[in-house]
Amino acid sequence: MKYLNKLTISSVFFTLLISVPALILFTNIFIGGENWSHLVDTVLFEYIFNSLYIMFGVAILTAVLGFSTAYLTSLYTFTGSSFFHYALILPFAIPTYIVAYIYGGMFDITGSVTTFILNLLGKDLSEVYFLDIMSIEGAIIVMSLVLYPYVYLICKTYLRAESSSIIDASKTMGFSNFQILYKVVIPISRPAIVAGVILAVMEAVADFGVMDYYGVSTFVTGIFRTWFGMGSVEDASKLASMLMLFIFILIFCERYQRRNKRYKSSGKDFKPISKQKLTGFKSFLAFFACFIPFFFGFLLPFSQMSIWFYRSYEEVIDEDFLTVLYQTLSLGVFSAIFITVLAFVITYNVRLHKSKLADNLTQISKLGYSIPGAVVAVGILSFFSIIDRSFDILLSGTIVAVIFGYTVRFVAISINNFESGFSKIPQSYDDATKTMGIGTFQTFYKVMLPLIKNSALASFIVIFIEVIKELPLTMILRPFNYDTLAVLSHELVGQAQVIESSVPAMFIVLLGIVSVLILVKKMIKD
Amino acid sequence: MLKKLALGTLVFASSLLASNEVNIYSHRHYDTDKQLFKMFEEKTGVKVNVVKAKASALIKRLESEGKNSPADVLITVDAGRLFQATQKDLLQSIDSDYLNKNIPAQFKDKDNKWFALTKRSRVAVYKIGSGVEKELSTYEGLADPKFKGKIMVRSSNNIYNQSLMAAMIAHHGEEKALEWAKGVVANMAKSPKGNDRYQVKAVANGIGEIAIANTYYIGKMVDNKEVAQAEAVKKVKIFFPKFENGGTHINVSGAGVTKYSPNKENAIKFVEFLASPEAQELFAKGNFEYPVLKGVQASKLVSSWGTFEDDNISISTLGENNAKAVKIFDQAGWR
Amino acid sequence: MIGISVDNLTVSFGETKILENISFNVEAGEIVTILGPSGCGKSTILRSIASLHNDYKGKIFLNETCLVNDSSQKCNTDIGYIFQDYALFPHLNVKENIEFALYRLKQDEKQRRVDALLKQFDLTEHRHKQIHELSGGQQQRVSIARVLAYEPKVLLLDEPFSNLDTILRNKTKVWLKKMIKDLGLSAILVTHDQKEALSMSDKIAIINNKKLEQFGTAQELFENPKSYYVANFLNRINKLPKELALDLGLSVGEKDLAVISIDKIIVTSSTSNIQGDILDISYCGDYYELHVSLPKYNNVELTVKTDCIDCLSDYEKCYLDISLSNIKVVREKI
Repeated sequence: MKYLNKLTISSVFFTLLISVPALILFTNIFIGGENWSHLVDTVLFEYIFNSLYIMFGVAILTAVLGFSTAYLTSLYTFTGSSFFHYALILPFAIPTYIVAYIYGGMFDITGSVTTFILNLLGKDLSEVYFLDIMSIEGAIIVMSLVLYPYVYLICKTYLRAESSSIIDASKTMGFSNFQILYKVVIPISRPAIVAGVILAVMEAVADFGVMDYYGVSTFVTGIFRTWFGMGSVEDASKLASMLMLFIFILIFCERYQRRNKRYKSSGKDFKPISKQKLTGFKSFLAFFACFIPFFFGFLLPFSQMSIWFYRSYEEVIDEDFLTVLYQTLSLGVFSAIFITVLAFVITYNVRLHKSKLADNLTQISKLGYSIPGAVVAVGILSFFSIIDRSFDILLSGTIVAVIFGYTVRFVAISINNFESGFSKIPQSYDDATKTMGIGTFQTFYKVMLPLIKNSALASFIVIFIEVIKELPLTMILRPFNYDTLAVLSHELVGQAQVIESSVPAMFIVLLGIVSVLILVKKMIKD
Repeated sequence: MLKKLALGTLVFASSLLASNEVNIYSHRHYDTDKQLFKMFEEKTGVKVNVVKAKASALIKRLESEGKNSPADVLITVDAGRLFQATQKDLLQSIDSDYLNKNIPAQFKDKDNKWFALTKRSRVAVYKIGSGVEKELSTYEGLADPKFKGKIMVRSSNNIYNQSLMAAMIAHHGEEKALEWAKGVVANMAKSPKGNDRYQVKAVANGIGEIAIANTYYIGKMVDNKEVAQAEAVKKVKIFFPKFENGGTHINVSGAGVTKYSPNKENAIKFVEFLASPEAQELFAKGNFEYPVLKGVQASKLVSSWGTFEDDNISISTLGENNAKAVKIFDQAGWR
Repeated sequence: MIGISVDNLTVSFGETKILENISFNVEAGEIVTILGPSGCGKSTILRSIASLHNDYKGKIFLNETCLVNDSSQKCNTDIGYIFQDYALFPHLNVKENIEFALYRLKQDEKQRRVDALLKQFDLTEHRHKQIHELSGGQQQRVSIARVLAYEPKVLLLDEPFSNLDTILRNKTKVWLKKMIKDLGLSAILVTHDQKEALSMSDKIAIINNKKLEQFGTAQELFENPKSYYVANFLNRINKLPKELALDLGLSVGEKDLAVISIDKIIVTSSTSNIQGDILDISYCGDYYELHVSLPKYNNVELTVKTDCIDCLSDYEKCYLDISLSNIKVVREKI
């Protein structure tokens, strides 16, 4: 029996609202702008090639870095393993574009490291061949160093839930650790590796900051260029939809080839994997293998950033800066709360009423995550201009537009969190409370809320970090006098003040580190 | 819920009208501007609210906002964008005696919809002692194979390059412009990346020999806190190329009052202020740009670079040819 | 030939001792069951034999010559380990699981062995199925086939029947026993179910409270339990008060207990026997269980199993015939 009540109506309404920008963009796939054939003739294939190159590069690097570290820290103990357990996630706290700026500042032609090495060798730049970090390869490396934690986290969670008997069985059959790794552990971990890689690749392909700075032409830089340079929104939208199509094909392929195989062990009695102790040379190797991603993905950039911060913070932190800080924090907190509550309403509604329609709408509203921030901003501008004209009000240029943009982009994270949290609550709880005559609201308050608060907290924290790190969408939609730390750091870099940019960047990173640690602690507790 | 939102925003919007403010959409990204806004606030008591973004984004936003837009003034760093804004009917013509008298004709819109505030040139920067300056003469000449492997220039995504190309198209037409672009691409020391200062740093350190950059960046690099910049700029010098049938390429940063400006009077005051001697001095001394106001001198450093003749094409042409310029860049492979 | 020899095995986890001086042997073709309460360390013994656990004192020999914990020579005695959850690889199908350990063999030899096993275990038509598509019984067969594929001499089974229903359980016990005998394997079975132990094993090792309480044939343990725990584990017994034993002519030492199986107490109507008050009668299908208290002996409560309800004169009182020959004396604690 379907009965429409306020909960259903409001959640359906919100879901539709969130899906609109994505749908608007989709409709542009079939409409070509006047420049489309020019684009096809000149740059389109380069965008496709570069995007594919980046996808593969990032996929391979993050898979290797993320899986190897997850494997080592899940199955073995060695010197520093308990430290790396947490530390390997830290690169999450630093936005990709900030790492790009820092490495650019260190390794480019006049960078600190380059100069140091040149002085050491006593040579001039023209005499020495050096790997130019500001290239597509540099972009791939920098992004992989920051994004591998996606693979790391998902693989770790997966391995933790994997029963130890499979590994034991392989050992009794006479296989060495190495053989077990490639014959058993890797094949079984494949869905986790793929899931993590897809998240990393999606972020890499949708990135603007790094590609722009390092001079790499991709779909996203092409979108900006077509939109701003040629003034053609239609062509830009078409590029955007092609990009999204790319991503969906990717996701679909992965789901399809996974359809028949179950990778979870079906045993009832579950013993988590007990860690093997490594000593001597093997322990050193393991330490080294974990140290490299930690060092290059976090320690090195963070140290450089700290040095720059120390040199410039007195100058940069003034009243205006504190305003920016305050604005960023309040925007982050408010958006995180709003999106978390919204996602909860939507997913709870699906659970209560089990409507196919509501469920499908919910899945559509997740699309926003795969759309680059700048593209979402375009969609919202168009959408809001229609609303503004029809209702004769002004929504674009207010904080509403920005929060709406964050909602479209990030609600997927929150919905995923809640869906996963709800799936752990057996339906029998709901049934039991129904038979006890407890109404929906009471059920929610007394039963659901305590059980779901972990998902809510995780959602809040993740969205908070994402909002604080977000750059292109904020840049385009923000109201007057409203800058965030991310926008400020980007501007400072734009003014060739990379050193000063470390000040707002440091705040972003510190907030990120705190949030990441809280999240991880909760995860380990579960 | 929508109703509450609408109400709230109306209140907000009307409060804008009632209060003493001026709302600026600016693409200028220099710190001198902060000082300028403070100066204006102190002088007039009018509060300055700013949104900074790329000009194209600002223009899109103005388009979307339509007549409900709270923007009063649009400031760009490039003539092309001013032109675009005019084409899209986003600016209004204003009647200001001060501006009419003091801004030269070639630096304002014929309908008084925008006014240039500063002038900058796009020049060739070379390493002292390399001897390459003896070969430099025209922009067209940069495509000559003798400069193979010597040119460092940023991406064509950047509007400064797009305007330079627009000027090239105006002088020689699209076909020759494409040939020129291909020639320059063949001469590039590295594929385009980084900003103007990056090109200068490269040349100073032995990568390439000629950097293409805007003049004011050179000024900003002198005594810069970043040691690499300060050191690099000591090793280079500016050469002012010209067009074969024209002068040295110039561009302007300018402002216009938006069509639906809610604080029109404040907006006009603000633009006039930007053209006032104090503001022009600040642009000149603080940001190393060439002032447009008659009687205001360029800074000593800027003057020391030498003099040049402004190119003879109209500023508006730079905007007219922008889309064509981007296409030519695409076809020539100048990323 | 002694397939497995465990000699003074002592295991500690940190400061706590888990197992102390466990010693027993398994001959070729013999099935030894390790019995004990959950969590008492039974699996640890298996894991130590299989080299999955290496931190112990004592010696474990395989095939009389190979010392398991010896790092100087690698034991090349193959061990087959059947895990409680079968540990089948979820990413491989049935055939691939079975041939998993045979990667060193030539293709045709591998094929031959796998086909033979598929046939033997009735899995030929399932060979391309994924593991999750199989029933519990089929999964168990696959796990055993996988292990037999490389022809081990030693078979270790960790609660192999716990995931099967009763009918399947009984069928499996029969063919598993036959297979082990036919192949001459030395097998150790770990379980907490005493019926399984009794029906399958040649010998039983009962572990309680870190120690091996008794090791011997099922018959020995059943008929001559050394300790109360052993007696109680294998059978349902009653503790008899020492006065009662004394009255019957049996003197029970301080550290000992007198026990009797519940079906060895005979219910009569003859008043010459010990009088008991009936507290409860439970119908159990083909027998009855009586709960009786003996007023003469401080109202101690006994459970009596009888199939004769007509032997009772009324449902309030009964007379119990306890004969000396049925009483066993056991150590209270080892």
